[in-house]
Amino acid sequence: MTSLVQSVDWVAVAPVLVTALTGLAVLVTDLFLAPRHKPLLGWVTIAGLALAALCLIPLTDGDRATFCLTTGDRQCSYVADHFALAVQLLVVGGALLTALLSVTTVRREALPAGEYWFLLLSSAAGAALLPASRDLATLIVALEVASLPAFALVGLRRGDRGSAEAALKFFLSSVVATAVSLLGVSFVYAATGSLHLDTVAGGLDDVDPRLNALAALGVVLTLVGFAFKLAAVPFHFWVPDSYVGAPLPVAAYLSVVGKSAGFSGLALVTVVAFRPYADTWGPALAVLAALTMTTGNVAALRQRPDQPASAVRLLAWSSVGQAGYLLVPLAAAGYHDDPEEMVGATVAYALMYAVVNLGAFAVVALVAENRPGHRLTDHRALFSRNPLAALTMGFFLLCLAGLPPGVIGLFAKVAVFRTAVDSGLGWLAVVMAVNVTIALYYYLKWTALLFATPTTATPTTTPAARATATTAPAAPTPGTATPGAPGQATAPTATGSTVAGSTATAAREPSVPASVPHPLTAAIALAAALGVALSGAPQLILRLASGTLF
Amino acid sequence: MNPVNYLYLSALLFTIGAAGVLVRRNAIIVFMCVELMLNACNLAFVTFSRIHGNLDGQIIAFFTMVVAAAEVVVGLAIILMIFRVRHSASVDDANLMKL
Amino acid sequence: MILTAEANGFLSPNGVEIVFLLVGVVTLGAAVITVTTRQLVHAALWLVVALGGLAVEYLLLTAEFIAWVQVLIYVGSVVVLLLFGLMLTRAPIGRSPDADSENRWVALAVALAAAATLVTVVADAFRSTWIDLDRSVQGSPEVTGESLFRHWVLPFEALSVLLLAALVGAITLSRRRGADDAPASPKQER
Repeated sequence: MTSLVQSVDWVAVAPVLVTALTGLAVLVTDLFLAPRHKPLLGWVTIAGLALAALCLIPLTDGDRATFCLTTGDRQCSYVADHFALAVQLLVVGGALLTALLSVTTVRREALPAGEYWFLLLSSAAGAALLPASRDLATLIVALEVASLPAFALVGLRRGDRGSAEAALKFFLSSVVATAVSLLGVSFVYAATGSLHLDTVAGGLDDVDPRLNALAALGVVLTLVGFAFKLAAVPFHFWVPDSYVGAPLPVAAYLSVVGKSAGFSGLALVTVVAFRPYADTWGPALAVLAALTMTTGNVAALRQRPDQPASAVRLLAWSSVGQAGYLLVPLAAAGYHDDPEEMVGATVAYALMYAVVNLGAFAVVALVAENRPGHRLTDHRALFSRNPLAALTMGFFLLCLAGLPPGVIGLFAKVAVFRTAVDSGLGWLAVVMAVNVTIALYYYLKWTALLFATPTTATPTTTPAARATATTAPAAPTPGTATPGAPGQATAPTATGSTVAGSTATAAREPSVPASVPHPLTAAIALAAALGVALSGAPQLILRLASGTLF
Repeated sequence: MNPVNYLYLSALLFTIGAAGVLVRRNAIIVFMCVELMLNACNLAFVTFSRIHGNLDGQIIAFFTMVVAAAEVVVGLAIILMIFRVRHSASVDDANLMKL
Repeated sequence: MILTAEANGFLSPNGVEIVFLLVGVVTLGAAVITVTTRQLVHAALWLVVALGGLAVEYLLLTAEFIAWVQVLIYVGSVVVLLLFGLMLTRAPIGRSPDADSENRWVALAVALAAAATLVTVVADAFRSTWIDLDRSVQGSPEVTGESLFRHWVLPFEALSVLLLAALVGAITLSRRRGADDAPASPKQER
């Protein structure tokens, strides 16, 4: 008799394990740490995530697999192939940038430090496990590990109504999506008798004709849970409110790492497990992609720049639009003879998107240091106040739009576009082109706002601030921070006169921000450096788009 | 016996739960309906496990139960938090379906 | 899997089939009441009946381990938690008004369509399948545990992270603000 338990290749699982163990360490350390040393926990988290990223280096051959069955045809539950490694790099890197963003927020909004970092790391561990898992049970559990701490993170601003409602909405819809997904998994299991992706693919190849409809229904239902995490369109309604209600770094985290959990799960189940049913999920994903990008971009167009949190809302809707682009190569895989070659474009696009979107969120956080309303109009004439921040923000927005000098954004879009054309999805390519054009409008409008002349700023912001005086967050006088105030927090004390007064002070604020927190600067600098490096050498990620990752 | 009866039961339970999620407005009741849906999935898993004669279905049913338990814990914490803020557990107030 | 039709259908019901039928009807009824009743506490109590009925069905399917876990986790803790939740949100004991939304007919139509689809698909697939329940127990705790720790260690370990995260998340969310927060926070909140 062979060994009773599975052998474990600890090096292969190290990126996930280090992330989870760091979370545990942070949670325990929190108990013994004096309150004034709590900021240390943030740095422990960042160090742990950096270590997890380093753990990816010995795996670059991409040939490791562990948690294999001890009997039968040695199916493995955990495979560290190139797809898994690339997505793990995205997850760990995204969590690292989020952590840098969070250091200030945790202190400023008095979030419970140990718990915050622990939840962030647990969620990241789940999201890192997901791309490496190769059976449906692990996929579902990993999806839950990635999302359950995220519910808590969204609702972490205790006592804040917007935060609580956002968490409830996010939670209830996500749980329903999981249930539907599980029903789909059960049907797939019924048709194939296995949960391991490769065996499922083999089983679906020659399904008993009587089980055909069952298997097809199972395939479609399984996609629901992952499409929900990706915020693809019928399952996207939680996005704007959750992003606005959550602390800003958490919104950034959801827009990048949450989406990575969604698309990597979708890629695994469609391209690896459900390949024989490509004629079922291919059109479904294509329609989903078209709907997602159109809805996201049209809604982003309709955002009013002077409303509270309009910057976050715009980023939320733009992230829905970007999710549509992420879906295009996956849909194309359904039409292509060699579906595995298509997935690379999604991963490459996601890496680009992760860097620039986190960077954009970081600049929004930076602007919120002085003007915590998260309004688009707060970014007016940022160039005259903080030229470097404005330049980096302009760069990030141009990357998202896909215009030079955001070369990497352009190339990633072209890679995605090519997959659609290559697999004969002409109509989807057209829809995508139209959407990229729509998106240009609001990204460029925002960029133009950054470089507007400051003299025109005062008369236009003041009436806007007055108009929203009843619901606007209390605008602080520069220098004193108001914890918990940003976002949707309704501040009953903000009477018209104080708002008008503080708007006046805001207009007269010094051209350079009083003190920019170092972690925030580091996050922006890191994202900008990565973005510029990728624009200079796009082949770094674009080589993922050619050839297969599995 | 014919396993299809178990599957009918599972399908009906799932749709009853789904209907409840769509109709009911109390967050805790919605939550109970989700539990019904998850249980329906479990019944399907266990039945299929029996049909195939391997244990994988029962294992994933077990995982689902643990996941459901974890969800209940977090879900109730969120519901309590929202109740504390506005003294109602109705989902309508939360504008669940608002864009 | 045996996909062959056999002669002995429902015409010769044996004990298992009768028990299945009775418990199944009770489970369905309890589920319907859970979803429709206007008395919130009753809903939780009927949920116990539905979940208990499912536990019996698991036993009939000879999934012993799952049946006992069902009783322990669902009936023992989930429902108790839900009852606590109802209590803490001060759910009225009697009827609560406006518990339903206006779109109930749409929801009903959707549910009926979904039920019809699921039932037809399932019926098409497994109408003629036959399983023999007289064989030995399939899911005894021993074999389940063996399978769990031989083949499914990874998701099991991931679940441990999930449970801890759920615990910490729930505590963090439900703790009152300002009670024992870090003094680094300004004490301006209520």
